[in-house]
Amino acid sequence: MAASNASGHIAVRPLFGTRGVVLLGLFLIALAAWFALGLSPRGLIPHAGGVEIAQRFFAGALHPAIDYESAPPIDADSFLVTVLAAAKRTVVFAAAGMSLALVFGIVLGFLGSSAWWSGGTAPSSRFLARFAWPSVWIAARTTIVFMRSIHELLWAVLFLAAFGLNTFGAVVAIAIPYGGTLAKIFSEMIDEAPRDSGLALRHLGASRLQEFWFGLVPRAFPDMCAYAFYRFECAIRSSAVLGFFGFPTLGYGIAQAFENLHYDEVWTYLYALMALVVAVELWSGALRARFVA
Amino acid sequence: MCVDYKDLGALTPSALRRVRAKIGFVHQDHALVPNLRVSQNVIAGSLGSRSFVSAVRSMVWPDRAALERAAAILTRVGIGDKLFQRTDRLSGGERQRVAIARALFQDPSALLADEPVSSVDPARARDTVALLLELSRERRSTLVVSIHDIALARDFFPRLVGLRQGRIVFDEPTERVDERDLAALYAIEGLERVERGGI
Repeated sequence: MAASNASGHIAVRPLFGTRGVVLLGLFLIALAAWFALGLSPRGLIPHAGGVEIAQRFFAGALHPAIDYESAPPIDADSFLVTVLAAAKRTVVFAAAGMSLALVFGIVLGFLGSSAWWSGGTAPSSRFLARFAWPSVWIAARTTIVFMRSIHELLWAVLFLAAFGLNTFGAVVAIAIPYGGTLAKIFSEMIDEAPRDSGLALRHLGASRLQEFWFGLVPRAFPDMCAYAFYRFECAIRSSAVLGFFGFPTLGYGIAQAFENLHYDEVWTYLYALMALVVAVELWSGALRARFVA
Repeated sequence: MCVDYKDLGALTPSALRRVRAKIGFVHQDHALVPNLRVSQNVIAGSLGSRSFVSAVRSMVWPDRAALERAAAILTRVGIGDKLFQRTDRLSGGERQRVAIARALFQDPSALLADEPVSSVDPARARDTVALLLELSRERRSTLVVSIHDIALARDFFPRLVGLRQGRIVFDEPTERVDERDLAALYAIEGLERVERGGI
């Protein structure tokens, strides 16, 4: 880079480059948003009764319940068994939703990746190259956007209205937005993977499909795996929250305990949820360690 | 450009695949898939002559014959014990052997090597060139190597082609390449120079 021109003057560094203007703009937008909402720290000072509730709630963190706080129905399981069963169902809902989402994510991620459609080898015919393939790509991208622009809780409300308290509805409610997000991220990871090994396979005569699956996807696979694990962790949280709509996951127990003001029970459920998230984290961490040679 | 009197630009995709499948190419940066096993990278050499289903089978559950052939080729290039290693666990020199093995697994009628010695030390450079030459003599196939080291090219190859900016400067048997040819090749410093030797 030439810092001086022919007459010997040193080029002047602009005081405010484009980057500075953009940063300032973003800061002003954030400030405007705060003013528009009238945010003030005073909003966080609870009213008199609120202080007491908050104290009791946070005190529960120190002594989570190991038994029901009031007499349960006669035929009920012991409290800890109930929590464990809810935790298990939370994982089952999340796993069912994720497995369906992975199918969506892999198929749509494949169709939606530009590495696949703009490979550069001779397309099979001019019509396919000009109209058919681009419309498949656009359809895939549109489907991906549609799937992930609606939150899983909204899908759950919709399915609840349509089918009632249906397990399959809950699983599909998780699978749709998660499938869309996986497809978006998978396609980006594949597009960003190094191309050299795929090109080498093309040079030794591999078809486009072979080049994609054996040259490109393996390069992106460790990242895709790590991301799928992260989404599984998110799915566990979503599955827990679905309990608030009446599905038998951890959220159901949390909602009931809240209603009965049994804060110690709430904390037992919350700790169970944290344990699940930590378990997934440890599992994925162990797997990542094996991927990185 | 023509290969075997066929104009590559006019071929259908499947005919182009058939031509490519017969040309082995050793890339400068090896261009292997690092997180696959050595066996998978070598067997990938046969993708050019496989359907997609057969390719999936050969990459996921390779049959005994393919594995034995891969093992034999790896032994020939000196890393027979690495068959089931992950490719990214190997050293740079070993990876280059894997890249050569992948090209051999194609059973090519011509072997091209792009700067095979640019990233290895001088001793290993001679080993690598010698190996490529031996292999193509055994198989009676063509070998074209692009190389910057003129002394190395002179020592090993019977025919040298001087290339400058994509143009042929000279194309002669090695013993007839003289100072004037080299001067023409390097007339202006800083231009890209490629020396080719072939048998």
